[in-house]
Amino acid sequence: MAVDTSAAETTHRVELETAFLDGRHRARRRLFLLRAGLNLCGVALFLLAWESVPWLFPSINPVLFPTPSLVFATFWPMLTSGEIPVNIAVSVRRAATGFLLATVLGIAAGVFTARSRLTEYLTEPLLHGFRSVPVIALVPLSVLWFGIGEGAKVALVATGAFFPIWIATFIGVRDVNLVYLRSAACLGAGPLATMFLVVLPAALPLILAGLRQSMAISLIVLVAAELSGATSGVAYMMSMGHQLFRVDIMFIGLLLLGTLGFAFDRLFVWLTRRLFPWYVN
Amino acid sequence: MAAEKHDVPPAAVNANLTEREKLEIESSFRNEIVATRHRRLRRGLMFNLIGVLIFLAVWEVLPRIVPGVNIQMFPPPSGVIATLYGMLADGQLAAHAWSSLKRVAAGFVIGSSAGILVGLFTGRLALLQSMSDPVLHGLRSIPAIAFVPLAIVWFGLGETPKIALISWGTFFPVWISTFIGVRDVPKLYVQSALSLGAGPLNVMFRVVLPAAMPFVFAGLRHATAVAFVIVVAAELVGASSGLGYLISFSHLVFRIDMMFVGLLALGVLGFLADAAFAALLQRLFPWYRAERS
Repeated sequence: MAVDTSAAETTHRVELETAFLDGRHRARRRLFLLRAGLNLCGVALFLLAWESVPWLFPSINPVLFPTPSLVFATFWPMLTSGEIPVNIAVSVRRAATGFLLATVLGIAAGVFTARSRLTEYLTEPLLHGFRSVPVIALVPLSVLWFGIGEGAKVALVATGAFFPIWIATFIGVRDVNLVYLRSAACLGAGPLATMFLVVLPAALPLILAGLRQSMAISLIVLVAAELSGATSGVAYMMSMGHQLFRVDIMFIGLLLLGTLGFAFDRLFVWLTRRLFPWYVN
Repeated sequence: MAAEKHDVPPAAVNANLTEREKLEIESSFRNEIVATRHRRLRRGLMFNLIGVLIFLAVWEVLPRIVPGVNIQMFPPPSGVIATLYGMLADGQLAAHAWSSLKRVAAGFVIGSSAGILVGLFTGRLALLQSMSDPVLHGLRSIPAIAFVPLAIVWFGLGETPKIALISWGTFFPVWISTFIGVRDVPKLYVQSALSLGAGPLNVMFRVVLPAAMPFVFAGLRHATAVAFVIVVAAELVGASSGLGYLISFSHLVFRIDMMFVGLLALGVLGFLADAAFAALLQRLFPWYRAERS
């Protein structure tokens, strides 16, 4: 008898629990759907408002303020003819090369400058000095020094992306918990083992934050570099649109840049979650 | 046996000292700490200075000794300083800096007030937030530099496109941090205010906004840096004054020393603006310690 009642109680409890969980799950789902619906509504409203501008204000020149339908009509042939994919590929290659270069150099510089007191003090003012100069202002200088070739653009992107990585690595390595270092030393770790097995993993969260920031910066610098002189790339497409008074092409460029920036950021977040699941926030 | 001798508890030692001796020990100990700290600070500053000097020396010497380097293309610091002095003396640099600063200030005020307003409303009203989120985040991920050609097509070459661009660029960091600050205001504050009979406006401006202030100021500080980047981008393309114009003009006339002066001025202005902001923050809101550094 006693066994029976306890079994019945257990099933009852399980039922209650599942019902409760189901209810919560459903509520959460409803909230999610509601939010997604509102998101969609917002985008639709925005597009609708934009589309209706020429109707509401007939004095506005549609060439200067093209509606979404017009932009899409230009977008589709450019996409199918391969013009847009080619430009995207060129831009992404430039940004990625510069970014990778900056990653390697920035982490190396950060580790090197933060590992000893002497180098830390020697380089700190230079670091802050360089950092306060906007990279965009270096574009004309780099055009004079390196020309307008592929190398100059990659160098510019690398320069812009370098400083956030350097600073983040510098702070991360400088502030590694002293206990970690002492424990490693007690266990007989050499300088190389300490560096790669203790210091870098401990500084990783900050380094990742720096990488994420400099990814956004490399896209910005890339745009500046391509606007100043290029024969291909998304921003080149935009500056062509400017010269031809094709505001619709410029809008397509903006749209592509926004999408690229957003996609890369998401990709980076996803990758860090995948690779370092223990650093989630 | 020997170990036991050392085992005199510290209280017993203290008991043998007079009050005055205790004070003396304490003050000498404190003096020692202060002196060590000063010494360390001085040494740090000295190394800072040495680092800068090494950098300047290498830059001064390198263009002269490396064969095949055109000194016009890599002007050494002495040349840059001579140019800087000339431009300071005839007021040219101050004029350019002033017109850049005016643009930055105007754009910053417009963009950040819009950012705070939109942040307040999107942070308080869930409906508005859900509807505006994708559009605002979509616009935010477009680099502001990419709007420069569009701004020229729309607004021409005068002051308007530059101020519009700076407002656009400063809006997003201010909006997003205000939004986060407003969203994370402790519910308890709002509920207390409501139960004390505060209306929605009172809650918004006397409870939520002050509670979100640290975040707002973090956003504003970020926005000053953004404003200095965008003013350069805007002036590089079409302007007749300003530091960005100075740089692009020197580019056209191959005066790299003048470009360096422009870069230097930009760096100094950006640094000073940030420092002034931090000082102002400390002055106005000394209780927000986290935002100081």
